[in-house]
Amino acid sequence: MNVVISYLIDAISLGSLDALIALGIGVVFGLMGLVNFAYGDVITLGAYVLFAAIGVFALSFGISVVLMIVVAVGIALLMERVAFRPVRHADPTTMLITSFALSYTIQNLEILTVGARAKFVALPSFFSDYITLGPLQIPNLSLFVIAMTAILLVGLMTFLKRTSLGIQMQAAAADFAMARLLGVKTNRVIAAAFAISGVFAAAASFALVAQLGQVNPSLGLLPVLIGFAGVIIGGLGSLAGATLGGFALGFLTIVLQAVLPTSLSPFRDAVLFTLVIAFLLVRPQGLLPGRTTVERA
Amino acid sequence: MATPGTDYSRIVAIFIVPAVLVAAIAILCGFFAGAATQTIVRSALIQLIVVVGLYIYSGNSGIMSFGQTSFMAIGAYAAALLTVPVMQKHFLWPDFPGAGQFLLDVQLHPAVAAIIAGLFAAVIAAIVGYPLMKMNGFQASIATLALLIVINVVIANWKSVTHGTSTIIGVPPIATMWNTLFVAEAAILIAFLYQISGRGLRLRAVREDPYAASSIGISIAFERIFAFAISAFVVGIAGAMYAFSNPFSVDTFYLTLTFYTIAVLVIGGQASLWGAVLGTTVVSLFTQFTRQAEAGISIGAFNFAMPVGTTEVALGIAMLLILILRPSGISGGHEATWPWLAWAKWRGRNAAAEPTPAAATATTRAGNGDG
Repeated sequence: MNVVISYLIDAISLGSLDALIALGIGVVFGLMGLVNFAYGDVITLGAYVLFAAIGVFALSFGISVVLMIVVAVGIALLMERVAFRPVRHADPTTMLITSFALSYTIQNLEILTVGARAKFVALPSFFSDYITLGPLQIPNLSLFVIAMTAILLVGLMTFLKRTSLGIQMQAAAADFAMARLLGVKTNRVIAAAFAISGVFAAAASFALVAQLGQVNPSLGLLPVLIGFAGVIIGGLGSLAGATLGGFALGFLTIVLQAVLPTSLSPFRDAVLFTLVIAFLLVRPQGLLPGRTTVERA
Repeated sequence: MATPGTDYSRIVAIFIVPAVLVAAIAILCGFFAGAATQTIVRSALIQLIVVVGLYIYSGNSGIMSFGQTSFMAIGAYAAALLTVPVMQKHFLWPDFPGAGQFLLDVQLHPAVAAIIAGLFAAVIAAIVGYPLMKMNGFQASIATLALLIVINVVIANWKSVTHGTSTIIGVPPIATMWNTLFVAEAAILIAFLYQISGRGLRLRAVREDPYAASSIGISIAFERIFAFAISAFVVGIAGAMYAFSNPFSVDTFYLTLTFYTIAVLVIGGQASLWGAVLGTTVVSLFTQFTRQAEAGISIGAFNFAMPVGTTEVALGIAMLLILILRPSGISGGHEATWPWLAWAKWRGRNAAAEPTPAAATATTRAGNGDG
């Protein structure tokens, strides 16, 4: 029983992290049909900011985190302005290749400036401690990630349902041409989507750094591939789908870890991505399909 | 094909011009440059085979594939398994799966091994391509990226056959600049023959308008699978040539190489064979220049060196600029023509800036006269 509960907490925590990442990709895709591979590099750059703020400039923890969020959002917006706005009208594959090129450039810039070797980031000991509940030992980090995801999800929902900009984003995701006719400003809603993806990247980045204790130029690579799988399994273009897809992947990862024999467990990612191909083939709209096909103005 | 009025000379130029360009560069380096330069040219030629291989599928179908590098990996591992001397094999592969034991007792001629490696990659491509090619373009692109990851994970963990992430050693290093040049020319020829064949034209029709193409009875899925398999054959042979020239491991054939290959094709222009060849030539010369600069260039008394990694950053930025400013690449998606025709056209374009009837007739005559 205890084993089941601790697996369950692991699964929810990992699922939360995957959902965070998938949402960051999904919110942009839903609006403009871009699978942003360079999203992983927003995560990495956020982690570098944390490293620099804490490790190099010895700023306080709170200020460092705020700085990290601000920079992640700024970079996401900058990416949109510099690289993605000029190719906004191109087909989705061209946009995907553009994000690939951007990612390659950023990673090599990191190697050029900071170096390929991992940098260690020391966070408050709270994030590496456990709390003990009877026979159970639960890592604080797992609970923190779950709580952070819950808060961000509620925040995103509130933003989309209650604010004018959020409603405009939903309208644009449903039918961009019509939304524009009704006065929705393209650049504003797309910038908003990138800003939101920046916030989610910062959150994911923090969770990853807390987990690994270090950052290197390819920190964001595996997460972005997993998030990308989550978005496809959940449903490209649907935020609820991306969330569900992320959680589904987290659960699946833990289940595979528990069920697969040790000799096969390294093949976990192969199973996940075969599943992605299967979904593209059998249910390309994902678990929870988006409302419309993608149209961009 | 044999339509009256077909200008065969222009069709032949699609093959001859890139083939001669590649041969000329290689032969120049072969006679006038040292062994180090020949090694660099050999690497560039292997890269050319990969780019031409990718072009066969992506150029003709219009669907970018992120998965072709995994066929290069398959080709490299297959070639290694077929060419490592028998004595070393039993030592290097002690836990080889029972069903494949006979492989440990064969050692083939490298040329035969390369062709078998290519065929093996093509068969795998046809099998995995079957589900992939039923998807629409964007989904198929994403699925090829998933395929790249799956094959990478499988190779990295199937230790009894692939040695996991360790480097493969013992492959006879028989690739020279000359035999690699031969293979590269063969790859260009295959790409050329495919794209002027009925099959190639049908796939290009699908690229231009899938609905119209399927309404005249073209099987979209079949044409795509066929191109995917030919592409995998060429890329698989590139993998074999890589195995014959460098030690390699599973990470040799992953995202970095995939990115490099796609970057080269996009920069050159993915819709034409000329783009594939031009892209590889330009990017290879460019990276060679920046690598030199990273090592240090002496200008007078000053020794000036760019930091290591500049090459990659410059390549990434070049690709971004091409995607934003000229998405059809350097070649603009055009095939190569005879230099004198290109010259006449260029002169004609300049003359057309001041439109006089005389200039227009002159260029038409020049264009027909030499064709």
